[in-house]
Amino acid sequence: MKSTLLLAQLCLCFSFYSLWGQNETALHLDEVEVSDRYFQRFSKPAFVQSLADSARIRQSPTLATFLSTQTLVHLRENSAGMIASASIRGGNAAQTAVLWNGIPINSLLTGQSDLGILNTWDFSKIDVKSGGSSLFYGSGAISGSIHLQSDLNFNQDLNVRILSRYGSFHSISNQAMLSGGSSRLAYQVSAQALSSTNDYPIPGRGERMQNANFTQQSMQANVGWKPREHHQLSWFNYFVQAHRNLAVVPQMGMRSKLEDRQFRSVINYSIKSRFAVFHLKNAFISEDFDYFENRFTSVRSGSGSQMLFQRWDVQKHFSYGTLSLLAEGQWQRASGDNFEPQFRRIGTLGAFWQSQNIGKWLLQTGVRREWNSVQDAPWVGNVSLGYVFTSAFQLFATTSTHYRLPTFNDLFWPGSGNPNLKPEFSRQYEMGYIWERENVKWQTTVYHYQIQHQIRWIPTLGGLWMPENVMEVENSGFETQFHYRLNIRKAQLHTQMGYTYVNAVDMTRQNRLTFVPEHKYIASATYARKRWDVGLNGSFTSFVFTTTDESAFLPSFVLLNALATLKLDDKEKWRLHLNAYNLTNTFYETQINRPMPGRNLHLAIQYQL
Amino acid sequence: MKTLRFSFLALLAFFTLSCNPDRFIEQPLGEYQNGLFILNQGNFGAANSSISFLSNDLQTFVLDAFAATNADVTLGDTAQDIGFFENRMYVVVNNSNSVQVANRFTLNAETRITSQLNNPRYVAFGNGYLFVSNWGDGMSSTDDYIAVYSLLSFNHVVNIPVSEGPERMLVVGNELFVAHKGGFGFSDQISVIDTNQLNVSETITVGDVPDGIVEFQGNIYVLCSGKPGWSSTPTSGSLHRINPQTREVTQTWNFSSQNPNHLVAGTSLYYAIDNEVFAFTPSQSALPQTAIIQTGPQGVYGIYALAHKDGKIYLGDAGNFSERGYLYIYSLSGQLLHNQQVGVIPTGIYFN
Repeated sequence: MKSTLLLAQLCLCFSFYSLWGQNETALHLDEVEVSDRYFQRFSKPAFVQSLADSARIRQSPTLATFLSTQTLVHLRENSAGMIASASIRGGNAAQTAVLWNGIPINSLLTGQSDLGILNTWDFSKIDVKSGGSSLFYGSGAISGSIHLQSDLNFNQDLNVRILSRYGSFHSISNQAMLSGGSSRLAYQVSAQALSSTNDYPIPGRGERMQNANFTQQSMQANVGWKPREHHQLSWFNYFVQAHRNLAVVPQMGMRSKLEDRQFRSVINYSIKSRFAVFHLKNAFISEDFDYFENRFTSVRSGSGSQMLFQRWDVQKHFSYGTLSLLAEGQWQRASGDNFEPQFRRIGTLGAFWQSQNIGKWLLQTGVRREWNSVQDAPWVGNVSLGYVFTSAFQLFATTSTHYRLPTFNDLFWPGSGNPNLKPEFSRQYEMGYIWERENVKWQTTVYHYQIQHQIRWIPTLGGLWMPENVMEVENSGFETQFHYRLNIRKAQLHTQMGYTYVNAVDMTRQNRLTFVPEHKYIASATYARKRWDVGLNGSFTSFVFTTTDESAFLPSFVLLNALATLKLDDKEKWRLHLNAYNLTNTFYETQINRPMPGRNLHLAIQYQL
Repeated sequence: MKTLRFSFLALLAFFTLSCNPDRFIEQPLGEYQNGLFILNQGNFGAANSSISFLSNDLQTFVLDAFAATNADVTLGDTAQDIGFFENRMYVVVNNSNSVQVANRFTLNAETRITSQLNNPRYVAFGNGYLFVSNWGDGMSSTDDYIAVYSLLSFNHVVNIPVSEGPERMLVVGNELFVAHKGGFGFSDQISVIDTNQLNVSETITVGDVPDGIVEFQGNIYVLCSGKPGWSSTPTSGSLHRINPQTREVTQTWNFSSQNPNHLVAGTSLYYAIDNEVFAFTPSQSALPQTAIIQTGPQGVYGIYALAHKDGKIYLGDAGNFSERGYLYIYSLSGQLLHNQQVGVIPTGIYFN
């Protein structure tokens, strides 16, 4: 079914308007097809943690591990390898949008993305943006967004990369990537398989996690083609499947498992004409999962969703700025053992303006309006003002509005679904500065935002739980991040520090939100010289409340990790990687009764052509 | 002879002196006498079940009495029911597939029954046996059973297969009556198990979703909630009187578009509809129209546990299920006497 839909879509998409909207400075480098132009062009000014060092990214076994150790994102993990969700600026998992090549991939059923099965191998670049972006990405991007990008390099020689890793608890990971191309063709194919017994001992308790083993496989196939000058086509495909036994502590009786399959495909076509830049994006996103309450039986409950997405946009440069206009359509479907197929159709129009420098001032503004078949979304917009003091130092202030539509589970769950739900709506204010020179970057933002009509499932008198727009939330806080690179003769030292403080309050009860830590602090240092590259990173996460009346909490914790890479030969074809996590064997949990592993080590060998 | 008589007199004197009633002091059986336990389920998956204790004079409250007594035993995940037999308490811990056995007065943990338990719900005692109702796999309708253990050795005796969703049980004479709510579905059955033969001797059909089963004035009363409003075919609740000797339904009272639950026997029968409590004496021909207790003014979210003792009604409120719950004590005329914040999701109130 999935392949016929994709084929149908291929036949739909080729109308010859497309264009390439490129970053002009990239003309000096090998041409790179950037898959998410909005992020690349419009993400500043904002607080963005760029994790551009993809080699580092690949060292982490999963995206969840990487985000929790290297960024200010707070991860809630149901123990290692299991379902993990992200929280930025105190928002919940559904308010953090995860975008893959510019397409939102949060589940249509739950509104969240499971970061436990998005692995790090398949992306060239990962950026974490704090604050909302509903203007560009629509529903869901309220408190932050995580951007996963695959980029295609034209004019690249054949490149092969293979990595094999073995780690604690019988974790085995094998990854292979092949890429290459010519001036008109670029391709990249990669595959990864990961498995682990995952029966780690719980630090300080002398017992092991039960029912914890899992396997995951993923594949990515991307191709770029320039049929003629100023035309470009790119096609990205990503498939992942996971079989996970849901890990539990020994006192728990259930032995459940979860099987997930996700497939994503996006085709971009761009045409650059003298008049304007045209871009067409078509995407198909699908997810499917089966939950076995008792994995020893074949009794299961499953759900799945599919989304077709099409976006047309036009970008025109004027002397005083760039205007972008977009029109988008989405067709969404969800079904499952629990409910009959339900549909939602969404149409959107948007306009954005990014000015050129007017003296020292920069202005970015935009507006977006969505119509959908189930409920209407509000107008959202943003106004961002920047003042460039010097080429290194910039101040900015932004006010914006964002929203999140209810999920299919919220609307249509049999018996509990509430089709009258309104979207969550947020108003945000932030200001900050970015100071960036050749070797140092320091950015800080202060923010305040509120969310109205936040959806929460509450028990009703009949004993039934129903989602209602009952919550009002106000979050304010402050984020800062500092990077410094120092070259000392033949060695390079790179340090990073970051801190975030968030005060997240449920205004209806005047209590702090659950599972939101007030403070997170990260610090890392890496030292590279000749064949060695060693690094140390640590994080501190403060305690989180687990009940809405602040009566119970999960304690704060400090984690320390180390990594080292050794280049085995002069041509740098062979590398050895060693990763050690949780060096102090600290007991910690980000979810009630779901302890994370203690000290664990991973050794990998990498071959690169 | 003289010595015998003298020694007999001496012995008699000894006994009369030592049995002076003024000097006979009753030793307390334990800290947790003369009070009530509130069983807090905790959140599913969080393994934070607890047992709170409130003394009858309302002066002593212990939030987690089990943990206070047993530093190295975790009660477990989602405790569902407590049963008392002689000196022991038996706590059914649903998501830990165990029954924790402890002394009911000191709360010292004694042993933990784990064999042959799969999704255990409620406990009952009879004929030297401990009975535990089990759902098996929640999604399967054919693997539900009653697990039977010897009360002397706690050894497993047999599993008695029953229909879907066995919940509360009642022992009358040599029979065990099991109310089947239906698990994740809906049932309308009462299974009758012979406690000598340990098999199902017959089934009685009552109304939809038999939630409560109690003995009152020599008869068995079953309160059926009816299928809830969110199901595809909602039905109203009903109350049935069953004669334990003939095992036939002798009278039925029907509710009109209401879903009652939490049946309790005291000086009369009590049950809850939404967040109100009603009293009913079976000699009345019709069900009461007005509640004896309305909890609205106290901001009670919903009644999650109900009990009666000595002319007072006790109810547990779980709030939004993500915070500590409350215990409320009312008089039979609806006056609030006491409230106490307890643990997360108070699911049962048991008097010691």
